[in-house]
Amino acid sequence: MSAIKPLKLAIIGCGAVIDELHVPSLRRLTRQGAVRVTALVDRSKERMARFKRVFPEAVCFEDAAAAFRSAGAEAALVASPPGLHRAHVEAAFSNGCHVLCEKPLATSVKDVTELAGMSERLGLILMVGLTRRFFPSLATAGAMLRAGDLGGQVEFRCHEGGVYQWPIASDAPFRREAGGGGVLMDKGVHVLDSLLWLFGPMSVVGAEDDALAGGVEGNCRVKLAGKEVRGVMQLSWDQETANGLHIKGSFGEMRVDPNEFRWIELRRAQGAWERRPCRSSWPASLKAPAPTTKAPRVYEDCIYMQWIQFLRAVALGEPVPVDGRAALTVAAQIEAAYASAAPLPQPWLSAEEQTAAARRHWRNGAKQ
Amino acid sequence: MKRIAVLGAGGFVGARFVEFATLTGAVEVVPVIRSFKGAARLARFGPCWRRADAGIVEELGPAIANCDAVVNLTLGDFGDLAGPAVAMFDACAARKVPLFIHLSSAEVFGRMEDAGLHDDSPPVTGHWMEYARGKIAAEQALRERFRDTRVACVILRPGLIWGPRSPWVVGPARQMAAGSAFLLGEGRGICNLIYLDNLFHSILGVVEHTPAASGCYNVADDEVHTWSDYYQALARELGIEFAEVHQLAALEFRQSLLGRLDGIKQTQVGKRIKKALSKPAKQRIKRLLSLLQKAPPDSGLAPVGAPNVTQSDWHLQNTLHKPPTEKFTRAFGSLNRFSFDAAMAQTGQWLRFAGFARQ
Repeated sequence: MSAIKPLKLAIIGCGAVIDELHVPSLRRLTRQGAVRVTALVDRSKERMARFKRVFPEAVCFEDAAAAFRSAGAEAALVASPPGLHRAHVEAAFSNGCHVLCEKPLATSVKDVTELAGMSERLGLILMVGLTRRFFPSLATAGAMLRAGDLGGQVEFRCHEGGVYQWPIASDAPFRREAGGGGVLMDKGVHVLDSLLWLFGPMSVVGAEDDALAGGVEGNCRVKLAGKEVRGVMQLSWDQETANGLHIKGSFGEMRVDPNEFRWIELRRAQGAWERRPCRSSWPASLKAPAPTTKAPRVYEDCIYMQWIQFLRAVALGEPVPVDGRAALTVAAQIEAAYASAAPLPQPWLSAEEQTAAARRHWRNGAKQ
Repeated sequence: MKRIAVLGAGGFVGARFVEFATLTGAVEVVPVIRSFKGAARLARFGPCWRRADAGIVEELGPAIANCDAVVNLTLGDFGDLAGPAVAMFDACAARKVPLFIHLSSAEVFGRMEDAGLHDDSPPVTGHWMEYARGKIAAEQALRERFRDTRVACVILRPGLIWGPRSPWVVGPARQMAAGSAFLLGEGRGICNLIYLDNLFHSILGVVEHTPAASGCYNVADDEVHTWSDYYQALARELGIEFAEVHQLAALEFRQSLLGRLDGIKQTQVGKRIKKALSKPAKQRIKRLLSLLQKAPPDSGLAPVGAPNVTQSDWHLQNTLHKPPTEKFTRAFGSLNRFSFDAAMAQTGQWLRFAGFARQ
């Protein structure tokens, strides 16, 4: 595939995201000679043994620092629980490694700011795994919005809900100290990044969630506003909701199903809905300076193209779609949403239950 | 206060148990989940879950110790629902839990063609649905333990459990929003519903009634509704004209090729094949299928949703009778707290929250 020497990679955290998302792309890149996985880090020997079969060259470590000291890695994929991201990214940087970090980069604005600063000071690549930047549906919608196709005074409504299906290896995502939060910190990072990318800078003007003291939210609603744009983002781990992004402007409306890579829907004034094909492509090889570009057809293509982009950044100095600074804009809004979270109204519950849910809301506990 | 172990607490019925218990304090619930992902619906209450495979006596035992009742809400592997159900019963016996409530399904009676059907009627034989065959096998295995005096075994047979978060609400709502909702034979078939909170209070009623007598009991909402009644009420809540629901003839079902393929995917063999495929193989198949999909032209009208009738839709919408529930009422009292209208009003609130109502 390329004359570039294989990048020696340490995988920090061998949970479901590696198995479900990264293994196919990394196998492909290993075959192409672009990547060599040299270290695996996890507390579970069983999980490391499973990945050792996939990447036989890799040495297993229970401790990230030891891996960086002895495995000679040039880059790290950080896929540990979010609460550990800061320590692991910092350890990677301290050993001169470029980093591709699974979202969220860290669970506080302070940590994200410091990691973004470190990356810039050290001249090391920091890319955050916000794969929706590669979705043709969102890229197409963004291009149309920027071209002013919907006019001004934009309003949007975004629903993303579904029964949680990740085959996770621990309950860390459901504990605030390890995961940093609930559905907002999980799915919300992706959705918020997409919305900020599409509509430009926005701030949280209201937030509600359903977490009780000691818990993390399974449902949340965040109101956002920016220059000539306002809207609502609603997320759920509970059940499928009316998923998708509905945008209204002074000239017309747009319906975007982020996971539909073939088209978005558009209508002018009160006319009929029309389908517009998605048009976006990404480099599909490491060749410089004119790479072949391809349009992602399935989600796995986005993961592969994310890796290509990371490798191109390391080898050719190209920019990455989401660096530490871009991650900071998302982290800031998430922190603002948590700081102002009020109890989510749940009018389908009995009056007694609604009162209890409001009284025992986690922010009430935090204030006490 | 009674202490109830809820097996399958990560499902929408189980999560409602935990929600009610947490918010009212009226009952103590021990939520048991098989895998960590099942904790997602419980995460907002704090880490309250116990992890155990309910089908393994030794693993389940510690989780249900000192409980007054165990409620089995697990979905399980339809190919083997009997083995785990018996294991749960045995775990109750070993841990001296006096009551085991097993959630079966009205589907054991199929389309309920016999108007004289009662709680102790034999189930249909050779049911086409793997889920129903699994439920029938589990009932049969548990009936053999009815004489075991150590544990009372109450088998409840709900129909379609509806309410906030129910797939029987989300599915039609999604179809109505997309313009693809349909009714067969003018929706005259019986829609055998039980509202989530009516089921849940029925279960609590059984627990409170300890010692309960082992037996099979049909449970359902008080009213008799057709599919047309149900869809009309849902459409009202969603702000959608009922006339937008497609009216189709209730002909004999003929499955499409895609439907057959989907059916195979849902069988145990299909699931095993899917599990055995490597990630790259799955990706190759996915990419291959994506290549078969035609790209849209530069511009074209978005098609209005077309109905897709599955065998399950056809089967359910052709239900002939509502099962009698007098046996349950005689044994445990009348425990339905919500009328259909009140339940639909609550469900409407959730549907609007979830964004399904027409803006």
